[in-house]
Amino acid sequence: MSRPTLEIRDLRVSIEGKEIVKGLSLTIKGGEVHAIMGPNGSGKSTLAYTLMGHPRYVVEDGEVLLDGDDVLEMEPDERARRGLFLAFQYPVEIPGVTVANFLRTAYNAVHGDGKEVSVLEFHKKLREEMAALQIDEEFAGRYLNEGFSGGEKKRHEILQMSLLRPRIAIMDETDSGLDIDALKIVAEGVNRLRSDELGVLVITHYQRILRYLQPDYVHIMMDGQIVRSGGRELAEELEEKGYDWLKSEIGA
Amino acid sequence: MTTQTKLDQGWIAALSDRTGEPAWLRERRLAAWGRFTELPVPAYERTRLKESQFEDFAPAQGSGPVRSWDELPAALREQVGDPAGRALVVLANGRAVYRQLPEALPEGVVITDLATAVREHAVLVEPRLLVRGEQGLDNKVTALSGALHTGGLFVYVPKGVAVPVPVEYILWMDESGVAVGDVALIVTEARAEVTVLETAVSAPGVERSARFGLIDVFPGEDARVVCGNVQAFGQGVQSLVVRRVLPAPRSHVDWVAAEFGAELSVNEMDSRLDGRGSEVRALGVFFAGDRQHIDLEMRMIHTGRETASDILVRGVVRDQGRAVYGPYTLIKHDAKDSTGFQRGNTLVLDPQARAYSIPQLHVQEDEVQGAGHAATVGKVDPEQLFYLQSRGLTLQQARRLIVDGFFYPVTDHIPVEALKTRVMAMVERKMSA
Repeated sequence: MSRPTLEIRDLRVSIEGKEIVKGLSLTIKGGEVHAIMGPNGSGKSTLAYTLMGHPRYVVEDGEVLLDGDDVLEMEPDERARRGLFLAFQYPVEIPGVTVANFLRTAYNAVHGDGKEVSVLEFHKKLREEMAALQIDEEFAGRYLNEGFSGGEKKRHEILQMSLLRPRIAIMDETDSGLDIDALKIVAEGVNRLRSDELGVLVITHYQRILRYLQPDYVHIMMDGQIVRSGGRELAEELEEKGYDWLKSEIGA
Repeated sequence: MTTQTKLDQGWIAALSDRTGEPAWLRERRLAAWGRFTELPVPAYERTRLKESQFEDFAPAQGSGPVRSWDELPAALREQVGDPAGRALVVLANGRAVYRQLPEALPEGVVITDLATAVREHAVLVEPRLLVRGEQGLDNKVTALSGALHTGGLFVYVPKGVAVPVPVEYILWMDESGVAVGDVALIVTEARAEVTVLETAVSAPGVERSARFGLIDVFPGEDARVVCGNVQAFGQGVQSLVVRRVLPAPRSHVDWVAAEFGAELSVNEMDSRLDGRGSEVRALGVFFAGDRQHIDLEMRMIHTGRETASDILVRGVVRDQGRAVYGPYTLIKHDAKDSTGFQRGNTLVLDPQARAYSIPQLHVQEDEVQGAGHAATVGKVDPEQLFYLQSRGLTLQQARRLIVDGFFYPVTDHIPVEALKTRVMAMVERKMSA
């Protein structure tokens, strides 16, 4: 596998006729961790859902290219098979479907024809990944996200990431609702996967998770646009001075 | 293949002559025909039946019994699977064609086709066969089954005996344009245990045929009876079947209804909880696709004290399929300390599919332990689809997983492993169709 590149070019997205993302450009390459920070309502989650292809979000203009191919033409499942992954802020409950059954179906769907693993092989792999994320074995028999605590949901998202081995992973507020121990486990889980073959986009409101994930680039998003980009120190400055400081800086 | 003989009283009398059945049965058969002609077409709330649905058929020709399993039609054998070690009574176009029983059944257990039972076990059959119709419990469907039956099942389990394998009642149809009537009678003494699994299947290409079926179950005191049915007829068949139970005190009955096939199917289950402390639990699974119409009518009538009923149904409609879920629970005055619960959920997969949920719960007694109902009709949540698709599952795979999960609360409760496996395989087959 080569080093992936995701290019977002002047993306404009609306929902129910209202423009939310207003011309956003960003390039993420394998080996890089980018963070997008921004206040509530700045369009961060809209960006995440749009990249994964949620049908409710309408792309008005712009391009999204994965290794040069038009992502916006693809159905969500094709995007997943091409290596895009979204760790959901609010993972969806699906009653009656066990975690193990779901994960094996997803694993075989993403890794594709001819690479399907046997139930036994898969369970061995699953146990290893679960152990790394300190997830109890009985978890595999539970129903998808049903009755999961906030921490369990997020760990389960990272478990999926570690099994599906995406090329570009988008993490939508993965830190929200986690206590410090759970946050460390989740961040370690992501760090373990870091390589030149994985680009990460972390979307967050707070700087907290960035201490553990150590992003290479930090972008501030306000009102549907990236208003400032910088290194790790930008996150610290923002945490210290608050979004209001930035608003006055850019004259918003 | 089909005779042009019309279905009328003359034909019913001639049928009775041909079978050489005893006078008591001939009388009951003709009385049933009389009721059939007088009774109105059943008025199911969302299933409109016409007179023609009882009349425009010729009697089935039927064929003689076969000597071995291998002589049965290949398509039938394929649907039933490996017969080894199973207890099977097979009817083809309403006539008994094959029976096999495992060796060493407990003493006194009778498992046979109805005609044989009438000849060899009249003393057990006569007190129960078609008597409930004479007590005013028939509708047009059961009356026609009683008049028209050319075969059926008889199961008898003596006191304290548990039948170790499920009794399988296989109904096969491969004639077109015909009506078939069958009657099953299941009788147990006190503390007996038995499971009866009915499978209804037809040959590919069968058209304009109908089954009129009646299953009467009489569990003895403290008995445990499981009655399951998988209706997997082809879409040229109409299936009108009534299942009735009269549980004795403290007996426990599990109904499992799985409706997948037929162009039109009404499965009416009528439980009369009269025996004190008796319990009836009904599980239902249905899946109507194409232009199928499936109606699951479950009635729980409590007249006895400390009786309990529970209904749990899940169904899916797809394409232009129609489904009716019509549970009816009545706790009559004096049925003190009883409970009656209903839960039903239908998942609508396509915009042109329709699901009707008509739950009724009537409590006339003040002192009940509990009663309630919950029913929903809903669509697949698009957020669930997106979540699964974002993990690489195609829309089809995502829908299949959601549907499997949706049925799970019912399939998980099916008390017989063989039946559970068969129901899940049918769901799988419908989803890949």
